Amino acid sequence: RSGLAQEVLHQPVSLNVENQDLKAVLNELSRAARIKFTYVPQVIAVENKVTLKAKHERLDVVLDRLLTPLHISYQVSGQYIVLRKQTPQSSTSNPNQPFETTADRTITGTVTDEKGEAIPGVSVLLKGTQRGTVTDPQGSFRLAVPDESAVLLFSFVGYKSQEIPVGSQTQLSVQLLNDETSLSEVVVVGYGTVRRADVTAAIASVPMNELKDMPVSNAATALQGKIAGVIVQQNNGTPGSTPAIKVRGFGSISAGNTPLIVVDGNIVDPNVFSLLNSNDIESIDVLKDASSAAIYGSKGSNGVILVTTKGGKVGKTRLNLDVFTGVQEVTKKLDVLTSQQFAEFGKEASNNAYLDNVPGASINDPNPARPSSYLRYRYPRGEIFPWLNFDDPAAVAALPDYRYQDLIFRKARISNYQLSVSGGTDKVRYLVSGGYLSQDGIIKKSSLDRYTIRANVDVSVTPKLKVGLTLNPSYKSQQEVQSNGHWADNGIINSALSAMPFAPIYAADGITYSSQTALAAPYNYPGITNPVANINEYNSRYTQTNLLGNSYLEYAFLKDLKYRASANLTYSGYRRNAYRTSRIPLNQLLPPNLAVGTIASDQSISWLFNQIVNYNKTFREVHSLDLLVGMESTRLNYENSDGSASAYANDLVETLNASAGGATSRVSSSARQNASISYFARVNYSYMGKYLANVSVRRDGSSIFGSQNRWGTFPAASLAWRINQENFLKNVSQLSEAKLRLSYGLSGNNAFNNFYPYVATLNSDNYSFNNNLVNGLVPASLANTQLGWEKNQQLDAGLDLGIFSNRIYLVVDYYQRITRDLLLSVNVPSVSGFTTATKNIGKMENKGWEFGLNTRNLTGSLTWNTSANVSFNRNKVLALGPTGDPIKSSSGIGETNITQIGSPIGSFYGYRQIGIFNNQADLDAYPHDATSRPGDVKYEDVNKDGKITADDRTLIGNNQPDFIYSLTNTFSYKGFDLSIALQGTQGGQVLNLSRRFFENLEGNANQITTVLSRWRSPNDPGNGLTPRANARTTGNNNAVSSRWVEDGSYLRIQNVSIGYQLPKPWLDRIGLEQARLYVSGQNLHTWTKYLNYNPEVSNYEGPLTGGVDYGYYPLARTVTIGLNLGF
Amino acid sequence: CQNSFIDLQPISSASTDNFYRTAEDFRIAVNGAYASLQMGGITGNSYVFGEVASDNTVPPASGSVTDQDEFDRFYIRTTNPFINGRWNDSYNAIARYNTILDRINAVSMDESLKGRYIAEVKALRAHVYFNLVRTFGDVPLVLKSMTTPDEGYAYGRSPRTEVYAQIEKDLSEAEGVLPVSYAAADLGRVTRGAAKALLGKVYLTQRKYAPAASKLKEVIDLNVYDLLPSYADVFKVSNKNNKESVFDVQYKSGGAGEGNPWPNDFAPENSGNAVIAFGGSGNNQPSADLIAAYEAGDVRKDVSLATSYVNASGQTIPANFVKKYYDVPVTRGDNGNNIPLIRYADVLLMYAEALNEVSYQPEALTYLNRIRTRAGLKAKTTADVPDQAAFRLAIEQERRVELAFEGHRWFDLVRTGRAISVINSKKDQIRLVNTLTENNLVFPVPQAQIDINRDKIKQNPGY
Repeated sequence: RSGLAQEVLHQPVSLNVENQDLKAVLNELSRAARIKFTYVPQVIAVENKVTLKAKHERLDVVLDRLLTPLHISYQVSGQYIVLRKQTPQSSTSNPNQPFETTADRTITGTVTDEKGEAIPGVSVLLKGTQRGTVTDPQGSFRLAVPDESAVLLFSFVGYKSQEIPVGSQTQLSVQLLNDETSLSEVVVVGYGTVRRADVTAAIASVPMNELKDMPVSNAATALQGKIAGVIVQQNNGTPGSTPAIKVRGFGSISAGNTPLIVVDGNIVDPNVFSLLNSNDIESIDVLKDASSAAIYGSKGSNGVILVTTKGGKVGKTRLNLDVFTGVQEVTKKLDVLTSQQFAEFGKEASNNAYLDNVPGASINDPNPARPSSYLRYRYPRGEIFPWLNFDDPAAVAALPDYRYQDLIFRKARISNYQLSVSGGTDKVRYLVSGGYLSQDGIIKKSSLDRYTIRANVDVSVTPKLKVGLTLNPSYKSQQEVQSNGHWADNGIINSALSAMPFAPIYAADGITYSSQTALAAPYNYPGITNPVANINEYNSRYTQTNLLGNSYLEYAFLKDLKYRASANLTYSGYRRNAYRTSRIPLNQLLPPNLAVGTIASDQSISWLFNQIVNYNKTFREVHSLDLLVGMESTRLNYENSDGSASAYANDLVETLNASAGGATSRVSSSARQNASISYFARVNYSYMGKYLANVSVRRDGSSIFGSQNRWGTFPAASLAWRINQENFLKNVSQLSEAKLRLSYGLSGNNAFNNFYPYVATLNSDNYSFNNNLVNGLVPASLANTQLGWEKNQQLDAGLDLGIFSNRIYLVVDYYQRITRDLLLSVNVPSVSGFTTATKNIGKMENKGWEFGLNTRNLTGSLTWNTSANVSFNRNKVLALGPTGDPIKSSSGIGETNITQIGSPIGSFYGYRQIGIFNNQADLDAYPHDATSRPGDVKYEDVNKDGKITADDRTLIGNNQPDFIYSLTNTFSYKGFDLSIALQGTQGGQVLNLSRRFFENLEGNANQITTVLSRWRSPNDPGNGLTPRANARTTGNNNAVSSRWVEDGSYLRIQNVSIGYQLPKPWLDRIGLEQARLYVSGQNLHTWTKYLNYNPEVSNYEGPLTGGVDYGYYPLARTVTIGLNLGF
Repeated sequence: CQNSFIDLQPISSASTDNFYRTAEDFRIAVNGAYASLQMGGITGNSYVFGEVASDNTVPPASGSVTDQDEFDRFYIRTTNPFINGRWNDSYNAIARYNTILDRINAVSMDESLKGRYIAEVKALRAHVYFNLVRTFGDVPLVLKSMTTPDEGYAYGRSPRTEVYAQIEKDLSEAEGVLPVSYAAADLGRVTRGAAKALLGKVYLTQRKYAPAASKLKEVIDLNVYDLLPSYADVFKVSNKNNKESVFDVQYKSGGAGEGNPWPNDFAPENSGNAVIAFGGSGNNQPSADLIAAYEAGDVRKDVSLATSYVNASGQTIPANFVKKYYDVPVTRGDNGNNIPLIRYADVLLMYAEALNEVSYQPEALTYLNRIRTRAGLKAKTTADVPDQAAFRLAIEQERRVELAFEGHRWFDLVRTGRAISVINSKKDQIRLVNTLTENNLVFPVPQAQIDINRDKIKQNPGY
């Protein structure tokens, strides 16, 4: 400790002040040396004018020169320098001596923190006087008081002040409570920071301590459930994949819904989260309402996530090592039919189709007697493969039963290493870190290796000039697998679930891959590809290089007037080398097949430049004013190229040079760009920290929009009232914070995937005349010069309430968000030549409540903190195109979703199943499809016209949950800590479209075991929902219907981690600053009724088609052990 | 400066603002007009309307995808994607044509070339409207390009007589201007003969038999077309744009995206590489009824279809499939065959039909017999076809086997008024879901187009 004190006092400082008050000089010094002074203001005359010149001198020398003439002594205590009044009879060598001991009683005592550790430097003041002292390094104090009515006031930075009536006591033991929600804590807002106490808008800070042990390869994943109103949806378990993030519901239909991501001032793509090391992140703040986001104008309408990375601090060099390693496995496997169950089912499906369609048919008819025109009337009876005979019980019992899911999933390892060095002097502060993450995917062969480097440097060139630089290069290399997609396109999961459980993996030679295709032709089964080959025979190496660079210059013209210019550059480029070997079975084609090599690369360079002038002044102690004006311009240049070739001699070399090229090769490239320019201003005003106001305006111009409507203006305002500062509440000691907030503002959206939506473009459409290729150009879209900003207006009312020294802290927000002039790719009559056109049309509302509660339940040696949040969002479309006609959207299989006035955006759309027609009488009694038979699905005649037609399709569900919630409990005792995080959503539905494959009852692909409850006969009607097996589906059974809409609610144990901080004495012995060991489990369990792997899945993530599951890379359960070491 | 900073133009796609200005621009735009012929809704999926809906073919074995089964067995849903495709693609093509016709007059260029381009595009527009009116009945008649999509709301369905009048007008204007033939590099463009033959067919369809006969005779009298001696040669990739070809959709293999998908579309499912490289999808399977329709000794049967194949393991797999279009693709769907829209054989048979409708006459028999003798069949005599009614049936039979899988059968049956009786008579074989009525002679209007403009677009009766 003394070593540290020496280090603090020996650091060099520079200062040049003339005739300023001592308080200001101390402030300057604390900034320059990154230390804090603590003193009793009533004792130290800080208003004294002083002059001080120091140029690169040791701090203790400077302090001696400054303080000795003023009869002030000082002592280093931790991070603080404690100042005391020197009395003639006491010397600096005896700082424990209380001064002015003129009264009759002496009180002694100690001051400790919640953990029972002594706090040195606490100011102890006799209320109503200038008499006081500070605690010594052991936290003890002595003070003389006049009588029993005396009240002592204890205060210290970072802790809640306490008043204690002395009474008859002479010995006091005082515990100061940590001011954790610490209102002096700084919150990052757009283009600046603000004290938490002064926040007027809905801004949430991510509790970084709850993220610390999560073994995630994408930092955004750890945010799940951490902030009220922010939905983080892990729809893909591919290592490193970025989840879908939405703030306060769907704000847009066609333009993006992802919030703006700003990392250290760079506006970046959300995928940057996959390149950030969680340990490098200092803070994440989310701007939720319009008033906070409006400073980002046209880009802020979906909220803003501000990520600040760690920087160096003044003091000795610190070295930190963080390591974790662990194992992941798939959270769930689906129950599919065994070979024996399949044989019975497949036979029934063929027989039913045969009986339906051929008059006079009998199920005993042999295959050759069944018409060849429709081969699915026939089923395997040992004609070609003796072992494949559904009629022979012995053969059925002997069928091999491949558990394809076991063959594609594995236990996979994950490891992460990060080393950082940080430190600084008054001139230069730095942090350099390097990280390496290595993760194998739970689907065999998939993997991720990521290398990250970060260097943050700040330099104080002169007291007025500061410059800084951040460089964050990163590189990742992924082995990709085709996990998703249709089996026909060699999708791994879909083929593993669909392949008949006896479909051969290898041909007779045991080496060459086979597939269901080998069995298919005599029965016209689909040629489902081989899941094992789909993994092994497709190689795709994806590498991505990123560089985030950021430099700034800050000049303080006056103490209150600063100028800051910053320039940011983001470079991002990827390269994919993929090769499909000749050994892979394709849809209906056994190997050898044509090998195909593809190469793709892209490069995106964007820069952002901004200049800000900031004026910050407090007038007459009560009016504080913070003014900001600025400009910003951005530019993005993007290009990509790709090529493919398939004339390979063999599989030895996979790159395209090994191909003969020719007619089977293809190359392509394209480029696009966009630019924006903006001007903005903001005023923050606070009266006595009690009444707060914030007004901002931004004007943006963007290249995305039509020449008539390129510019937009986005104003916003917010007010806050800290009621607890009012006199009538000041004495309610239980109330530590009570703030009412109100905000209203306008923000915009230009996150449109089309770069030039207003231009009438031409597409090429070529032709040939007599075998000569000729180029053709045709209109591709209609112009819309009026195309302009999507506008988002949002009202937010909030309450921050802290009671019992903020041990209970509640934040409640209500918001109403209306988006108008939606950028909509709207259906137009196709007689125009086009089926859709981009317009500003319609109106949508999101409104909801958010509750966040933090409590510190126990604060003794056992601490227990709880944080919980719950958010409700209701989305409703208020207006659409000129005729108000609904937008029907397709995903995978025709129309699945509808967006219509009065309903939530992208609701599921289809038939509503009301049962199964059990017999002919049932069928006769209710409208049905022209092809329906007993055992088929009974759909509701919604429009009651006595027919089942496309007009009977209706709303059958919605993916948006009623509410999302999370609960995190953290405990600590001595060196142990425990954290348990739960997270879930309630009331949302998923359209499990994968059941179109594995619950279609066609008898030609494997099925989930729900088909065991199918209708078999009027006497064996099954579960009343699952129709009969039928190789030629009747009754429109497999139309999109409520049969496949499932409850997507879930509750998940998101993370449990147990850590142990090694005790100080042990560490001292081995020369470590700190050491912590932990075990962490991620995704430990999910409670859900959902039948597919992951209730969060949405393949077609996008507002119009959300919640459609077509088979995606499942999530992993991860258990890791980790170690943090500090040197 | 600020405004120029954010005034960016597309880099990788051209804008219409700086196109349609020169003769060269129009050459490229007219190429784009021809490219519309390959669209699914115009030619690519035309077999669903012309063949699957008829008694000629059945759809592939698919359990849950009933889109083609709906045509085969007549329970076509208003959301059927083939219905959508035909409507949307046709109007997309029409927009291409109208844009050219609206803009070309303002451009100074060689007047004869300009006239030819206009004539070519009008003939294409007539072709697309002819398909539309036969498919849907009354359809919106759009004759100028739109600058905003909202203009589309103004268009309701025009009576089919108006649509036919416009088709006749376009073709009449075109046939006078179009050349009889082109230089080799331009083979495949609409010729005078093609326009006349199409106009003849349009007249025939409207039962204007005398004008039909005279227009088709004009085609014959051009003396540029003839039947090839071998039926098989007509469809060979090496023999494209031969003397029998009056109007073909042009395809080219070689990885340029200009290949013909049909050979792979029509090969049997799960046939691997046994029938065609890269396998097949099993579409448009010949029905047992059609196979039985070939007379013994008809060389056209084996050229047009097969009933089984031998797979890689040596097993004989029973499967009916179309063989007429066959090539060796470099990648799946990249075949070089053209798809005939009008063959000279069709012209001769239409001429015979028109003559017979004007009055029963032996001359008509000579045209029928040219087709039969080429097929290796014996010529019919007046004893075989003693009257007008018998001749009608002879023409119907000959067209069915000669033009099988070329997209004619359903529209032939509708034209001759035979669709209802022929299809209903085979209802057990076809396993019809609904018995055909007059309503089924046109297909439903896409639901999406009704939903978006309910005031103007109404559904056909019965759907």
